[in-house]
Amino acid sequence: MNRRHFLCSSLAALTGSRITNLTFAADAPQSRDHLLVVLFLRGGCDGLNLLGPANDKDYIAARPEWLRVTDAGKFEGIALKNGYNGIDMRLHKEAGALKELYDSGHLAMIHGCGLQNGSRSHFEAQDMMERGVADHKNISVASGWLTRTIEALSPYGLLPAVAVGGELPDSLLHSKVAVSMSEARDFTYGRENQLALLKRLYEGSESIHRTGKLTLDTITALQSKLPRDGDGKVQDYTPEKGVSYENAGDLGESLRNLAQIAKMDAGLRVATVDYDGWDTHEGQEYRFSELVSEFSRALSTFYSDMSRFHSKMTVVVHTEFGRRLKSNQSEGTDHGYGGVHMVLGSGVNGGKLHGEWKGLANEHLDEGADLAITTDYRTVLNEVLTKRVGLADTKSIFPGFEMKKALGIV
Amino acid sequence: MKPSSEFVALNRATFGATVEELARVEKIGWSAWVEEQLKPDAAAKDEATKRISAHKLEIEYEHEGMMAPAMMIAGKKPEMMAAEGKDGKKAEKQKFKVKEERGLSSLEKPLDQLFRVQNQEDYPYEEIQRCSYEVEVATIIRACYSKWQVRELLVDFWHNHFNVNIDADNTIRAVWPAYDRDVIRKHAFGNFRELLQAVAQGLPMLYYLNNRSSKASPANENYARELFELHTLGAEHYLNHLHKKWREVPGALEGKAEGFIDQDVYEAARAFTGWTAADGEDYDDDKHFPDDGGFHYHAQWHDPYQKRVLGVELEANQPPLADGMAVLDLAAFHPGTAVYLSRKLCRRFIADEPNEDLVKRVAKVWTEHAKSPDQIVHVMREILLAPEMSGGFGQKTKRPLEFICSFIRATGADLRPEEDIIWRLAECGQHLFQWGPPTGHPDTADYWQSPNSLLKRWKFARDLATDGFDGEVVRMNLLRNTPANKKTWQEVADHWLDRLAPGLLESHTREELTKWFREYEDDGKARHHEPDAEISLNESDLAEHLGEFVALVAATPEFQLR
Repeated sequence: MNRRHFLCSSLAALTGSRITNLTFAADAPQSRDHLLVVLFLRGGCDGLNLLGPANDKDYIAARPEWLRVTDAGKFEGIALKNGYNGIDMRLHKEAGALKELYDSGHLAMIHGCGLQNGSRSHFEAQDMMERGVADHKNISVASGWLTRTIEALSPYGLLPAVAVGGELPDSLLHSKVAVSMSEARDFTYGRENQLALLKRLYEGSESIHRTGKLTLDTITALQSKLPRDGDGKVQDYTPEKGVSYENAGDLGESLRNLAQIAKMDAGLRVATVDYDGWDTHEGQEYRFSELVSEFSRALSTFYSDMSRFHSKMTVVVHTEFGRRLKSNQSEGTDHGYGGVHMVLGSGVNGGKLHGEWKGLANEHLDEGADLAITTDYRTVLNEVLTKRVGLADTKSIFPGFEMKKALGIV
Repeated sequence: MKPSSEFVALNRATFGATVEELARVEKIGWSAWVEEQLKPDAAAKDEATKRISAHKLEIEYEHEGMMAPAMMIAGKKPEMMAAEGKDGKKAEKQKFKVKEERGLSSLEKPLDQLFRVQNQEDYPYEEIQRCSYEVEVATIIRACYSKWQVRELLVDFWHNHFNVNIDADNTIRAVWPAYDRDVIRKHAFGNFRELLQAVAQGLPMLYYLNNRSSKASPANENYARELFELHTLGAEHYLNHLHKKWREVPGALEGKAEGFIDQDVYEAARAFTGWTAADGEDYDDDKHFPDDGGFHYHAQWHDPYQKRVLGVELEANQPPLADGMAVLDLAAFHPGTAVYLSRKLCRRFIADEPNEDLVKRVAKVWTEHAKSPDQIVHVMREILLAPEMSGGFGQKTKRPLEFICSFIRATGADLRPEEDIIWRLAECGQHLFQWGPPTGHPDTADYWQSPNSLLKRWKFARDLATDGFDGEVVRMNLLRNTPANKKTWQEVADHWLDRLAPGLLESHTREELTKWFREYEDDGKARHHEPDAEISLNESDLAEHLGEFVALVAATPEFQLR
């Protein structure tokens, strides 16, 4: 394959950082409220390549070894304790940083998790998940599940919800308070009298006015919160001692910006971060390794950087679907069904795989092709919202969803 | 105050209405203006063509290889690479430095040339990247200065509809000028079925959605899925949640399935196996594909057996390409496609939520002209002449490119785009040819009105207007473009308000802005000036103050909308 750019940029992967701070300090007493971070792996992360049953004969038969985790050799996966009964579930070899979080007891993973609607369309599946629904008649629900979460948490402070990056994801659709932001220090405009003029011009009632007013108010709020030096200059963000985002890629950059905002004491309750590129129909081996490596390093670096807040923060990782059990002839995998979701935080029942693993025999597969979904994605979110974030129930967050049995993730 | 209907229509049919163009529409009438736009005269040298021929961009890099990059670009055969030097040793790699101001020389190069030069060993990445960079720059120049504004908007529409991310593969960047020119621009006003095929067989799409490596079996489903879901029938016709078996899909038993399910995706993917790119790829150890960068059908990879797509049986062992062509026909001529594409065009040109009656009228024209070579001209005429086109100002939020171009067009500034401009557009949320997922950018306010995006565009306009860009990127010419007879604070403010927002602003908004303009701040102290007092600032202070002023006008809510 003529993939010049694959060769030139793989150095970063060789210099992966180890987590420096795994015996996390006891949480200092906090006045701040719980922060929910939702990290979306967009494109459909191949759960079977991230966390696979190394010795399963159906698994071995369906894919070449470079799209599997194996129990020995070049693609040897990282063995996990507390997996599904009697099955050698292993993590991808580039996920060493996830293994450390798992062993620390802070990270729980749920295999066979997802949207039980049958959709294998990225955009439809994302649309539904981000609205907190699982059927077509509700795809037009006019707000995101995080929008409703934030509303349920009101009253709130200066900056209750931030989408890190350029735009708001649909999970924050039609929020009146959510702000998209790449870096907090960018929120400036001109002189005081220009800002004042713009505030007067954005006093209308259309959506453009509301967005403009929110933008201008955020400028004012952030300018008062950003740490400054003696000359009034905004200081560069310094992560906790011993933490460096240097090898954590673009995702690390986003999470670094998030850590800065989270630590500003501006009342952040909900944050979203997107990590794209998981749609590996072709040439998966290399691409997937890179993605897993960056994702694992960035997540663990961020978690170390947030060590003072572990009991007051939960990170949820999800993806719109997993990928087909059988690989295609392009050395990749097509859209599948059940995938791997994760929950990270100090009160999480981590170091354990949750949910039910049905196996990969043909009769257990969805449509005879894909890992079945045994856990509705909202089961996971419901536990997080009620036990960590502090909502009494999630009826308004997930309309029509009947919680069957909690998995005990939290 | 309400903007005139001519202004509303013109602002939607262009990258920003100007007072000159508005006067022209008032003179010749809207329908005459539309007819002119629907038949662009390719031979006429408009402002954009002149600017593109004169545009120069710096390129600078160091390169290590056997040949000077200039020779590689010229496509010189690499015979000398094997040649022995004077001392009998094999020629060694040398270091070359390239630093020059260069015109947009890739834009006119034929596809095979663009493909072959980059297919050489050690070909500099900077030269590959340069090819797509020139298209990006030319796109911005045309958006600002082309006479054929409807065409430019349509080109933008098709690039988004058939989204390809040039970052997916270097080869895509290398051939991007040919794809933009020979696929998207060539068919922008043509026939949808032909455009669909040109895209399907173009190297960029074959690489981006991986069909180039799709072979039996299992096939790669990436292209087949997005063909149905994004390029033709649309997600609204994905019926997988309703029907698990093809027989259950309404109409399927009569060969007229109303929508598609996963089984159609699987079958269509099989139909396209063997559709690949002429990229010189090796196969069977010692053979390789042609290397002209075009389309190549590789029969060995094709799954020849019978298929069923949208309820239609495709017999086993069809002639080369027949399976894929049949799927393109089924998808392109499906009634759902007519509605989906018509709605999408109306959404792009008129309103986030277009009137469904209008969509039906447009879909009717779409279907009547499904086989006409100028199908899209007919469709666009229906849209542009619809009463909805000139009503209800503000139903669209400008995209960042529309925002910046409308600012440049209205001020009459001289923009010479380079990479800063592309980077700043991305910061505002518009990733020119670099949108990741195959959906293309969303086309509703929910996306374009995020706080981050709004703030970044205010700052973008302000930096353009107040010398915030290094070098020669923009000359605002605000003083030169202020008529000599406009001397007082009020006259100058009115002049620029009328140019940027003719009839667009409420009177109290104009007053607020004018009041700000009259309170010129000097050494941190605001000095109030009477409206009819003559402006007595020196030129550089006035240019800067005017820059801040026009940037504030561009930051008004009204200027964000169409």
